[in-house]
Amino acid sequence: MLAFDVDGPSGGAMVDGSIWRMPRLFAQGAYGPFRAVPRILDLLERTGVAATFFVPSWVVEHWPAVCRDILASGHEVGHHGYKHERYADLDVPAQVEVLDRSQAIFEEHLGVVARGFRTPTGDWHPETPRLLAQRGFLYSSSFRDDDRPYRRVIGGAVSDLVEIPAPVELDDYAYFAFTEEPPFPKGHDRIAAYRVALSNWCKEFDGTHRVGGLLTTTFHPKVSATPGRAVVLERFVEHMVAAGECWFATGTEVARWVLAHPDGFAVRGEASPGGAIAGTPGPGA
Amino acid sequence: MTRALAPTPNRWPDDRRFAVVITVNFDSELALLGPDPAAASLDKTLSIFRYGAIRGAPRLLDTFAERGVRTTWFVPGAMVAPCRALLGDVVAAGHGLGARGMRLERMDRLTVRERLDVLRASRQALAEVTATGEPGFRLPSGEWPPDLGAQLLEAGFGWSSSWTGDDVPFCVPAGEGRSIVEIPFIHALSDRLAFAWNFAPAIPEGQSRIASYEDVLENWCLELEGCRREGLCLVLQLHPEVAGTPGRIDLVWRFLDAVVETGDAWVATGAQVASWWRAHAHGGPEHPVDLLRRVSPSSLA
Repeated sequence: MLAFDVDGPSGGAMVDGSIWRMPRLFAQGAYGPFRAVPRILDLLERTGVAATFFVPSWVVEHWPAVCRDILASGHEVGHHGYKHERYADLDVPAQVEVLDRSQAIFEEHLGVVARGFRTPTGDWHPETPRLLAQRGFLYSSSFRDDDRPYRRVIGGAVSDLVEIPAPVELDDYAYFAFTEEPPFPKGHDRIAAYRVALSNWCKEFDGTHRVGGLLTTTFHPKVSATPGRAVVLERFVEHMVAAGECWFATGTEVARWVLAHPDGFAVRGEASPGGAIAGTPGPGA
Repeated sequence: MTRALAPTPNRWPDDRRFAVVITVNFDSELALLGPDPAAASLDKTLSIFRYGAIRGAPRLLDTFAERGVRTTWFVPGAMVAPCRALLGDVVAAGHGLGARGMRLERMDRLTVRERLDVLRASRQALAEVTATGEPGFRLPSGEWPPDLGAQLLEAGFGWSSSWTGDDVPFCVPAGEGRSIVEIPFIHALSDRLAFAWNFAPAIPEGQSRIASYEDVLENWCLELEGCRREGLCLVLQLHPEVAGTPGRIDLVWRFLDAVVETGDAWVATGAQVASWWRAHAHGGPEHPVDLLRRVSPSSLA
């Protein structure tokens, strides 16, 4: 599942309001929907691959034409907060507010109801999966605990919420993201060699191919679609296409497949207070 | 249907496909002393930066001359007097100049009055070295104060290279419907972020290892390929003390060779690009700086 997080200028600095005193940081983030998403849509058209874009609804509100173009190009959009809020920091009413407001924005500007969700900024709240399932979300693509999708246990029962894990190895932040202030990475580590990132990504793809798993990316257009990195991204997509046996699925397609083949996938759940795991691995584990 | 920018016949002069702006941040020891005057006693550490004036800058000048490229040097005003002879060589070779404040001041920590004083003083200092083209400005560090554009215009600067966020120049609001031309860079195209290193004070903060020269050159060449593909404007940032070592000057040679070998690059100074863009900028979707001004008028005057 080729997936992009179109954060734009949203994130911690927008949640705490400091972004409004940081025009340069705003522009660095806005580069995503402004320049990088159009470049990625061209790339996906050339390679004939469908992708999933997780978009904070503030970005949908302010770049509606770009987001409509994502859909018109045959791709999927999913939720990613309003301003990229950390769900672990929100109580239940605040989460409901973000989810319902975002859904209203998706319906108003894009004419679609999103069925997918990816946690912005790290962890979600213990109640988040229940809220998602209650609202008809089919999947989350947030966790790191498997290399194939699974059905989530919520409140002790198997739910219809599918988790599509996404590993950090395929997160471009781990290679390329850089901001001067606030410093990212914290110690201002070097920007990785593009060649090295591409090689790592290809190795994870080849391994996933070998084990018949599911590979999911967390690529941020503003990070991995500068002019030069888009060249590398295209080589990565071409590498995957050339493998010939890869199903490039959107999140909804993966989730529907999992729900239609319950015996083929694991059921995995909530960590109990003692640290033991509720739920049992299914035959797909 | 192409959604990204695509090469157009008239985006750059003389049917050039894309633009390349080679810039040099000649901060010298002010890189350390500007933010921290107490560092004046750190003679050994300061010598890292003095290397730039002693060896790095002449070596860069020779390289640029051999490759026949005109570049743009950003110099803090306080460096003009002590480096007069060197800067004379810079402008004599046809390179352009830009300011970095007087001592790399953080503009977002100065009052409006102080900012204007610093900008005017740095403009005055640059005037002592006569360069071709209008002088530009590069923010040393920190954020862009909402009214900086207007103050730059008032101090006599019509263009800047201080932002990221675009692949071609754009217009930053500068009050009363005016604007200045911004020539944005990306962080991957900086020698300092890839190679600068010191023990104490720690540079960079996390003291990560010096990057592989070959890998960095390959990153630069990939950005060159991407910029050429779409007809964009590439901005490289070099620092004499970083790029001018006997080993790393090889990266500059080879990168410039790659630029020249494309056969269709417009290698220009910041002043040339700004002047061209001012006369030939064309429309497109709402620029993020305009969007920012619309949703948060106090962020950018």
